[in-house]
Amino acid sequence: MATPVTLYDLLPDVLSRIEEDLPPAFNSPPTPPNPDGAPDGPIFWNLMGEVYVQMVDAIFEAAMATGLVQLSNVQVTLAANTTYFALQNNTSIGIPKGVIAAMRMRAPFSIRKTTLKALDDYQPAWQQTTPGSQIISWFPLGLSYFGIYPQQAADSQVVMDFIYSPINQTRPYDGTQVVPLQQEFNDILTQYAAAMLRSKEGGAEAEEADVVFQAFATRMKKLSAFQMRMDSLDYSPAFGAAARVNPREVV
Amino acid sequence: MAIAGAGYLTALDVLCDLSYQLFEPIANTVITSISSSGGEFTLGVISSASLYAGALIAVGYGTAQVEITTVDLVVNSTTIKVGLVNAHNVGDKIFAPTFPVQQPTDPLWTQAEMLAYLSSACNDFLTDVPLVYGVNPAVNIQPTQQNGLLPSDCMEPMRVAFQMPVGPYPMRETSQANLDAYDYRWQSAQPGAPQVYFRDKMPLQNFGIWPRVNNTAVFEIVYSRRQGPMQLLDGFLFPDMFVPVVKYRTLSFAYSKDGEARNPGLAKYFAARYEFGAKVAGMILAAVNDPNLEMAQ
Repeated sequence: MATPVTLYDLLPDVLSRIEEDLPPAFNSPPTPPNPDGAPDGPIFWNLMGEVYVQMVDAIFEAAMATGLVQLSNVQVTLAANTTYFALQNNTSIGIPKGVIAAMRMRAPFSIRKTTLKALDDYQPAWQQTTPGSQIISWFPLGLSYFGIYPQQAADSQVVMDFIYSPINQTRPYDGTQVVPLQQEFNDILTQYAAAMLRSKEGGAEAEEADVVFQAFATRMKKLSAFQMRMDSLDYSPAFGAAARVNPREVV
Repeated sequence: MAIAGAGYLTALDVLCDLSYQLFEPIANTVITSISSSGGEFTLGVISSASLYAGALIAVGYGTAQVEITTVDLVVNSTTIKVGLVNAHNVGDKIFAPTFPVQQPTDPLWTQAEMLAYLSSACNDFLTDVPLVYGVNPAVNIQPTQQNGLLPSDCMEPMRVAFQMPVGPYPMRETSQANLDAYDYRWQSAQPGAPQVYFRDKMPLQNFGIWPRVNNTAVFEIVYSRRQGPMQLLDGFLFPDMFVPVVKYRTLSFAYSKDGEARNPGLAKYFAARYEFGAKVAGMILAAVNDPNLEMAQ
C-alpha cells in the first residue's frame, strides 16, 4: 500500500512550477543546501496563506468533480418518530462533520432510495403512516438532510455511505494534511495549485494558468465518478465560456 | 453570534485568500500586553502593520474566546486601542483581512465591501445550485388569513405540507391566476383543510393557501435556504468543498469594480471559473437527488 502523500510532499512540485524557493530546511539539514544561498521561500507567495490553500482548493475541486472521496459503513442512529435528519452538524447521531451527501442506506440490506416528490406523488399520506420497525425507503434533501419513510417506532441503527469532504479542519493548513486521492491525481493537483497561484499575476501569466486549468478540468472529467453515470458532455459546455483572459492581438 | 457552517471555513478565511490574490496585506500579529481603562483596552502588539482605525479584527484567533472587534485607534507601531467583550491573554493572535491599501483616504477595497461581495456570491451560488435545504415543521397562518410568512431564510419553498392531527399532508402548488380560472369566487370559499398553496401576486417572502382555515393553520415547509449577510466569523451553509466556487465569484466582483484595481480580463476569467464550479456542483446535486444513482464506487 502506498504511503499517504501530504501537502508537504507535493510542495516542491508546486513551488518549482512557480520558480519559488522551498521553505527553510525542507527535508534537509538546516544548513544551506543551495549553493546560491539558503532556501528561504516561498518569497512571493505566502506558504500557509496561499500555497497550501491553493493545494487544498485543488483537492476540493478534484473531489467535487469526481466524487471520489467517500466514507463507508458509518453507523447512524435514527431517532424514533422522526422523518428528517440533518446531515450537517449532526454528529450526535453518528454523522461525521464534513459529510457532503448521503449515497446509500442499509439496515442491514440496502434500502430503496427515492425522492420526496415521488413519495408525495405515489402516496400523499405517507407522513401519516404509523411508525414502524422497517424503513421502506429514504430520500435526500440536497446536502442538508435526508428523510425516511416510514418513521421508526423506536431508535434504529442504519449503516450509511457518504460523499465526504477531503479536508476537514480549520485553518491554517500546515502541510501535514493528507491528500485523500489516488496517486494519479498528484500531478494535476500541483498543476492546479501552481496555475491558481500564477493567476493573480494577471495578463499572460493568467492566460497560461487558464490553459493549465482546462487541462485540470479535462483530467477530472476522465476521473469523475459522476461522469461514468451521466452524459459524457456534461463538463464541456460550461467551460466553453472561459475563453481567454485579456485577449491580445497577435501581430 | 457567529453562524456555524456546514464545514470549517469562515468568511474570514476566504477574505484572507482574497487578500493574497488582490495583493492586500493581512493583519497578523500577537498580543504582547493588555491593559484596560474605562472599558477600552490598550493592546501591545508585535506590529500594528495593516491595522487602522475602523478595521474589523479577530482577537484571540484560533481560540474559543475569539471575537470580532473594531480598532478604535492605532497609537503607534506596537500599540492599538480596541473594545473587547471576551477575556484574552498575552500571546493571543490578532488576525484579519483588513484590506489596508490606501486606507483611509482611497481604499481599493473595504472589508464591508468584500463581505458584501462574498454574501452575494454565496446567494448567487445557492440560487444557481440549491444545495442547502431547511425544514420548518411549524410555519403558521393566522385564522381566516389567506397569506402567511415563509421562514426568513427561505429562498424558495420546495414543498408545503398542511399539518393535520395525524401528520403532514402535501399541498399542490398553484397560482392565483389558476385559481381565478378555476373558480372566480375562490377567495370566498368556505374555510376548510387547505389543498393548494401559491406564491404569486403577494408580498415578498409570503405564501398563500386555499381554502383558508378558521383556526391557526400549521404547515411543514421544506425550502431551499439563502445565506444571510456574512460576518467575518460566519461559516458557510454548504460544505467547504464548494467554497472555492464562491471565492471565484467574489473575485470576479472584486476585479470588475471601477477603480485602480479593475481588471476585466481576470474578472471574466473568474466568472468563468465560477460558472464551471456551479456546473459541476449542479451535477453533484442532480446525482445526489437522483433515486437511480447510489454513486457508490
